[in-house]
Amino acid sequence: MYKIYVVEDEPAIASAIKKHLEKWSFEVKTAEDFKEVTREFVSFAPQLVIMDISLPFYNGFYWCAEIRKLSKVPVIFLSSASDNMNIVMAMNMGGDDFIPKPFDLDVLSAKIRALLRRTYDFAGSADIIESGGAVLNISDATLTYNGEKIDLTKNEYRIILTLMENKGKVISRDFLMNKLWETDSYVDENTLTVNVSRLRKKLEKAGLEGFISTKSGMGYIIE
Amino acid sequence: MKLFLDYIKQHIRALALYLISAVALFIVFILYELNLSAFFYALAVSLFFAVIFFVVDYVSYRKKRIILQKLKENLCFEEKDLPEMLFGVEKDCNELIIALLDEMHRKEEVMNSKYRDMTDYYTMWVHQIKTPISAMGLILQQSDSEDTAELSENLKRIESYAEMVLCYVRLQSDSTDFVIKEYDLDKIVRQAARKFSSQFIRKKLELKISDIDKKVLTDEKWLLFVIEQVVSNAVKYTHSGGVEIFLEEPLTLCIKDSGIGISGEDLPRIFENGFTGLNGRIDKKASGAGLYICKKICDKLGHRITAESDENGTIIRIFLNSEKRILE
Repeated sequence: MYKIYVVEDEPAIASAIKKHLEKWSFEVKTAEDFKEVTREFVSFAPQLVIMDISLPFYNGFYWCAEIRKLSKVPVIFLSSASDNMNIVMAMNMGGDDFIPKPFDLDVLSAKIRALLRRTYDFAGSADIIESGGAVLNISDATLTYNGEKIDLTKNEYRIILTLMENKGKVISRDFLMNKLWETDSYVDENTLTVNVSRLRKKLEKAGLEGFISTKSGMGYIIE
Repeated sequence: MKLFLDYIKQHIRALALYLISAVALFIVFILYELNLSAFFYALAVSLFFAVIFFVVDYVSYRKKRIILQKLKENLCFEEKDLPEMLFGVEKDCNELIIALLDEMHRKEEVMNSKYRDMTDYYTMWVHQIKTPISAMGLILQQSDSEDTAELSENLKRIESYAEMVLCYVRLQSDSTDFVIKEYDLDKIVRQAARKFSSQFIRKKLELKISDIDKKVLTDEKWLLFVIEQVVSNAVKYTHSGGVEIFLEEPLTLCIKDSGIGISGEDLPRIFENGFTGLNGRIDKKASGAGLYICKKICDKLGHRITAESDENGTIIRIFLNSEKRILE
């Protein structure tokens, strides 16, 4: 279980990040006392830090430098000042990556996974999502069920990833199409239907029937 | 030649005085029955000195006038560029010019400092407003319903208006923060188009991006803004069909939509500030500033931007291969 320390003073943003990362089985602590960031870092001992640059006491660069005195833990900077100067500063100040606000939560989690992989070279323990015996592997975009690997196309992978990430919630077709467009796959209604039915066929062949159910008029769901 | 005539005109009184003195003396010599050849000899000597005097005076006169006329041409001079005026009316005028110059510089400095304050304020404002926008965006990202979809749409519009403020303010200054490098056109275009995915999907429009795998010499941030504006317009005014983005030789980016088009009278004016035209007036959300800002950015980057339109749609072309470039 990887621990992530989030230093962000805007409560809505901090809690949104926390909720999203917890879906990915990370243990997340959000900073509480912004005068004691170093102390909280030491007592929580995270494997990765997400640091907002504009903070009530000092700033993200200062706290990163303080943390760097004690640890080489990867640090990702968040900032609303996305001009060129700050990106360069962030890297020079010991940051490992930088995300300008407003950002996409998927992009954030992808960067986190990439950083963790580079730093700790882990065998993918946080890189999988499981549901009903089916295991989705993020690193190679494959689905495994009963020991059998199911190959997925880019679109199919994206669809099943979204559905599994939001297990138990109905996901509308529009939401799925938006997710596909984010990967530059400009699908329309028909293409989406075709992709979903192809995906279902693959699942059935592997023994996963009815894995994806349709809620008519609303969308799809993985229970 | 003109200068010489001016000089004569200016010294006409001196010349007249000389002539009258000569004539008077001549008359006196005649009345007194004095030897006229003495007169003529004296006249010749005084003429000789007069000519030398006037030539020297004319040379310095000519020099001053040429300098002053040159300064008039572009009015961009300093105190040290003015010719030396040592006496009387000329000196007073000179001092007046210097005083006016100082006043002008002072006023310019006041205006620049006010302008800088304003830019700083708006820049800070945009950064501040991006925080609640991000917060709202993140909360909305996590849920999926008809309401949140609509909220997300509107939030995106707020975000783009805020960014436009920043662009507009930055463009007003003469020096801008351009970073001209080579970039992948494909990446920039896709980033711009992706921004509007939810609108494309909601309106059930198609998006087709053909092979645009080329490198361009431009400023990524600003070109991105321009393409985003154009695509935003394309999506806004298209209700069926879709948007196609492709390249024309040699390096012209074309954004074609199958929308309602721009009317003939409006077409030449769409890049004017505040111009909303027929379509803009029907869709009251148009501010008329979008394409104006685009044109300004393109001008500064050395890219030409044109529009072609009929009732079947509009094509915006951005010529990315210009030779003229504003280098730092």
